Amino acid sequence: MAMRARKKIHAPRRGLMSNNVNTFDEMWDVLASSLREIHTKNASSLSFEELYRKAYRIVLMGKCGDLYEQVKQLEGEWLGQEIQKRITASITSSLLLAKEPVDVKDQSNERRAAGEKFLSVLREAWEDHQLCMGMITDVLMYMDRVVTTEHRKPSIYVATMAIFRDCVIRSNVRSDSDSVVGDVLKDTVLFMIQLERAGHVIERPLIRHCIYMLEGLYETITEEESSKLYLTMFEPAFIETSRSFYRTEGQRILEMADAATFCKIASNRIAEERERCLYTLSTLTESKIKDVLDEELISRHIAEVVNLEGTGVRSMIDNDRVDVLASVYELNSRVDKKKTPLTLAVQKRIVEMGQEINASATSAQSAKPVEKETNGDKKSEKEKEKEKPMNQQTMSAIKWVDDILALKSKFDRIWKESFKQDQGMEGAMMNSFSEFINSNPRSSEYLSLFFDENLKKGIKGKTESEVDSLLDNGITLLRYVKDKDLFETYYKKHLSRRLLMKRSVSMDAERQMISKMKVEVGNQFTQRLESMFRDMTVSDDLTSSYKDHIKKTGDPDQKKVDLEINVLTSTMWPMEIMSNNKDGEVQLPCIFPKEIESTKQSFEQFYLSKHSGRKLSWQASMGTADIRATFQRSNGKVQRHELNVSTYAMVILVLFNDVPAGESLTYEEIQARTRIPNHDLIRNLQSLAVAPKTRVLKKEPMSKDVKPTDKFFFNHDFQSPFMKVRIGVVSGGANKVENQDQRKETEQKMNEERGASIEAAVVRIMKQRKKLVHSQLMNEVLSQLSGRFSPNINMVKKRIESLIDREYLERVAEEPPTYGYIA
Amino acid sequence: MSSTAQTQEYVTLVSGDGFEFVVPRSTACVSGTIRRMLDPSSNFSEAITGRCVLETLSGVVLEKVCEYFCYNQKNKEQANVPDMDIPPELCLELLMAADYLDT
Amino acid sequence: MENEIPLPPPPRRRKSHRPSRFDDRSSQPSSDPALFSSDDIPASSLENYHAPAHGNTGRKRRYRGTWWGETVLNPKRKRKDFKDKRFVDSGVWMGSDESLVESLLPSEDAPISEDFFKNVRNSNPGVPKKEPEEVDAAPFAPAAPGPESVLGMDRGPISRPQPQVVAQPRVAFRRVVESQEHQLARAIVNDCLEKGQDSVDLSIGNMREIPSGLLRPLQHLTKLPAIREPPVTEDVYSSLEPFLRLFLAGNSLFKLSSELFDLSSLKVLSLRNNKLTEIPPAIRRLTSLQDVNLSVNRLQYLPWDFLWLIRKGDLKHLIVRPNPLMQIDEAEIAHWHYPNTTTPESLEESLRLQEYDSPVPEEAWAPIHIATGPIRHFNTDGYPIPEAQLNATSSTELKSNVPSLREVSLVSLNKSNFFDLTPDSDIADLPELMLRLLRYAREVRAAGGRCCSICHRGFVLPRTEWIEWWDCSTYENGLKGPRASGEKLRPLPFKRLGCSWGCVPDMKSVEITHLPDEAASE
Repeated sequence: MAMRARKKIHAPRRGLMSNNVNTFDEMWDVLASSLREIHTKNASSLSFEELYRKAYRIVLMGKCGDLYEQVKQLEGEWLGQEIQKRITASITSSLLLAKEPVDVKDQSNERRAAGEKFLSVLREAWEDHQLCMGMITDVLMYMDRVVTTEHRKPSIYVATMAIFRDCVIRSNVRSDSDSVVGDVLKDTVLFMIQLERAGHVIERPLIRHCIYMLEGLYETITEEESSKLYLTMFEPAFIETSRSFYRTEGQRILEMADAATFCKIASNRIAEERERCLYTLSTLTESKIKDVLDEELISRHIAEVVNLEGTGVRSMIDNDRVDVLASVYELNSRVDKKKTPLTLAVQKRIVEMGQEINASATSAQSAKPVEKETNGDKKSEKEKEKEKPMNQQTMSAIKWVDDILALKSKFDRIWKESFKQDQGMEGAMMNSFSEFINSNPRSSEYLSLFFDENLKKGIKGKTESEVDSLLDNGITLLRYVKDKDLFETYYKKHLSRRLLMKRSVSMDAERQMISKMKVEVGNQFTQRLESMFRDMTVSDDLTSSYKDHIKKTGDPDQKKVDLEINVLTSTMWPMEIMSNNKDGEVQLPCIFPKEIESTKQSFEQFYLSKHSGRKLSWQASMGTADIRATFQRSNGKVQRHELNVSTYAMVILVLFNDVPAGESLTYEEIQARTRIPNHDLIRNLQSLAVAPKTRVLKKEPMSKDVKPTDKFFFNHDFQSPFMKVRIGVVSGGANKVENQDQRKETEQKMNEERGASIEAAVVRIMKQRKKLVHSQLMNEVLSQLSGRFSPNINMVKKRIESLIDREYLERVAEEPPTYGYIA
Repeated sequence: MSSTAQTQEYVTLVSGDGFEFVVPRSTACVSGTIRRMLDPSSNFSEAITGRCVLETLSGVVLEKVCEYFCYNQKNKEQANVPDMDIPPELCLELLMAADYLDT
Repeated sequence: MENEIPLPPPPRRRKSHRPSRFDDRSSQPSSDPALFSSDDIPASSLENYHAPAHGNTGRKRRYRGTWWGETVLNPKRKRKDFKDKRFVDSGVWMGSDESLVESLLPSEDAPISEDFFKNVRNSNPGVPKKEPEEVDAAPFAPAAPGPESVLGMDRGPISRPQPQVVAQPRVAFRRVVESQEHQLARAIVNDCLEKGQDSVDLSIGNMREIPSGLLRPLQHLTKLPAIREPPVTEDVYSSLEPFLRLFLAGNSLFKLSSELFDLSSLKVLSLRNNKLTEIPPAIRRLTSLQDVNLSVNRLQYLPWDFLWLIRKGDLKHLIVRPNPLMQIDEAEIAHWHYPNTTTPESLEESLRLQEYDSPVPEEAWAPIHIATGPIRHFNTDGYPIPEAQLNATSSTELKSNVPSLREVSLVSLNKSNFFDLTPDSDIADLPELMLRLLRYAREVRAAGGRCCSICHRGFVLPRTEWIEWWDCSTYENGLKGPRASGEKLRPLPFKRLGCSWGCVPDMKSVEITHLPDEAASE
């Protein structure tokens, strides 16, 4: 290293660089003729090294700029004279004349042939230019390095591309006309595309190459992406013609075809344009032409297509045209994320069909005489009349549910298969279902009846999974019902009957139902229902342990009364069952016969010894009794029957044990001796003395109504083919659609309960917040309660007032109105 | 003819004073200038014959240039590249050759 | 080979102990440096265990120069740092044997002096890559003053007035030219040398550059033992090893000279309040530096070598702010490293030290690599390559670590004494593109040389360049305490250069594995 360092470094031998041999002009002449050779494709006779060296020397001479300019000039001459002539020669008059595409049919073939010839000449010129300039750039690389770095000029390649643009694309077609080659190119390509849109086959690769050329040329010398000639010169015109084409096209299809066809054509056009961008034009245009299609073909017409009379979405839904709906969805979702027209149409149809279902349910009901004020004697007749129609109404309620379920499954299928399980659509459809379901004021009741019916009879003989899906369907509808508390009330009522009267087919199904509701609506909702079940189990235990107790302590001589008892927690069971007082009067408890009374007392004793501090109140109206009755026929024979009657009926019948044969009791006497409420007494007497098949008593006079003065005799001539006779109470046991009064009553109770819920919510919120502005309080209350029902704003306001009156709350400010909690 | 040029595995580099160096084509193409010279699509005479006469370079310099080509080719995928030794008296001429050959 | 002797007497020392060329204001201590002998034989140390036996092994080695200069400067540094180092050329001209004879002539140092003098306005060796037309041709100008001069060709479109000094004929007139402040500076240096004063205060203002030969004598500054009247107490004995401090604050310096980087025992350097736009990477050679002040300059970024000094050297206190530094929130970031490699959602959040409980983690003290900027690539001519063109480049070419022939030639040129011996007229008619490279190479050489921050090869033309963002706030505070948990991080931009396209940061592990000690290779 050290040794070498001592050697002196010499500058390179000057001889290599001395240029005295050649002058610039001499070398340029050689170069120039060689460049021409390259253009005429005779490069094989040239030595790259020689040309490169000449250019190198010229650059070293400091003539770099001169060389650059000379080359540009040479290229300009070549392109401007030689190439430009070739191009303009290929432009025939047919290309210049027919400005409007496809307007004259016989010209179009001629124009097409001329266009193809022109395009291929242009393509060849472009490809030659590219190739030659590639070679020339290689040869002049050294010059380029200096030019681009030191002189800050574009490379010679870029510069000659600009020359091509100016001398070829921008040159006038004829000396006397204004139009330039570029315009002709543009018109020709657009013409070809129009031909293709009209269904002709065109030479795609040829156009593709010309488009490549436009993509390879730029407006500016700096060659920004956005200054491609394709983008500045061709694309706007293409978009414009496409726009007007599709504007008329859309109109045309709409006029001549139905909705399904429109969708098909539109989808095809979209695919076609996409393909055009891929294979004929440039992918740069893809999104732009897509916008044009979306705007002109779809946005403009989709609403009309959707609502097209006879073939629109409505008929597609009615005819289950899942495929066409899918393409409508596809088109609509292109232009509108929310798919507004389609959604609206679907929603409208759902509501329409739902209203039809509602209407048919209501008409089934209103076809029967509407109940008026029911009272006393009048009622008994009507009750009888209505026995059958009521059942029909129940049927119509169940049909209502079934219809809705069918509708739901129809739309579910459409949603799955046509709408790609679109979330927005799902929400909209749910809203529509909810809308019409809630527009039927009896939806809660109907739904509960549906469950009642199925749990009583419907699920007999069905497999577990069938039962499961049946219940699931019902639960789905429950989701739509807004007033969940109303549903709860009905369900409780129906459930209590099922439980107390042992009508339920399967306790498993009942429990399954409860757990499903728990999942759907929440824990709170099912709490009370569950406690009803609990009461039933506890009662069973209680009954059996009471029996044991009696066995141990009981007086064997005493006539045994077999007691089966249900102890119900008063707050958990439906109110009307539990209420002792009707219409505001305090009802004294019913007087039981001695035998029963002793049993009752013995049970009370037993029960209270177990649970001290509780109060038992006996609901005779809900019970049943089996009694053995002996009928002494006039011929001396004795006929025994076992009668299954309501507890009240039992009490009435036992009275007749003390009545000598042939004597009677008046209604008033019975009433005084039993203290059975009038309403129940009338109904029981009706079933005992009026109903033809179960006439254990005789009545004088014989009529359908029961009057206070009527006399009743024991009917020793009672006939029945059966040993056991079941005597139902008129209009008592079965669950069916409520009549107007009952409904009013339910509503009233409902409102009371809601009022209590609202107050509870208000107090809960205020206790936590201490101080709150009115509007905020309202919001919180509404949101807390929305799971159960949608509270009436006025009701909430009233409740707040009432709470203020009762000094739970106080007003602490007026503007804005603010409340404070009083601890 | 361009196809025959392409199949040639070796090319000949000739110095201004007549020394000939036969090197693999890929090695010679380390130089941008020679790569362009031999580009089969261009059809220049060098591409056809596979023989490049480099008028401006002396044999001594071209030898070193070829050494560099090999050095570059050999180490182009190595992580730890050894230094290449250049006699100081050749530095300037090699710099000039590098400039000319674009390497 | 020479370079295998770990601690050879550096040539500069041999040379510089001669009587100064500026004998009237001697920059030397009044006595010759002492001769030392040593029993330890550095040649037998581990790293050249296999080295052939030298003629002088077994003998006591004699060292000329200062005694402390022969001790390992930083005992903390492990010896393996010296091992398997690449033969890197520092690019610093040390003066060869031949030149010694000529160096007796007062004119010998002139070219270098002039280099700095005239390149004042071009004090940024990194910038020419971006603005190549601004590379200054000044050094060649006096040799070819004619209208056809290289200078004229290189000037480019922007022609700016040269500093007046350029027009001056060379060294012969220097004394006439020597400005007052330079004279004053020399006087201060001489005074320090005379008195053994190791704190050199040149914060006198108005110096536009560091005159040649001003700092070189400081290499040999020796402290004088304090002479006291008896009784002699223990605290009289203080270290005689100089704790060299150099204060250049408050001048108008545009660039630093390589002479500064030869002060290998420099402990404290203040460049506060100057006009520096860049600190040359050769700063790395000042391995003893403990305290650096760069505040109030025109720095937009720091050389990566400061990080090296922090991590491998002694640097404890680095004052950078205020300077017009690049800000991370305005900079383009290619990769994030902290707190993790994903792009943070909010900069605010990421620029925060992660919470820690006691004990204080290592991380709270050490510099933290926050992010890495995009990599710029340069072609063999030293011009940046546009992104689009780079994408078209083959991957083997992008991964290659082979230097270009141009680079190989330039490195060799810089190693040789070419620039000292070749008259400008000899090369004036070389191709323009070549001249540019030559000028650039000389710039690099004058600024103390470069070495690739990835492969540590000495190089001239960078092929890659990128910014790394590191938080060094503990070092900015002088290591007074660790970062507090959750403290805001203020990353500094460090510029790194790579010698080939293969020399790019490995994003998976940006760990410094091996850092050769360049200063020791002298």
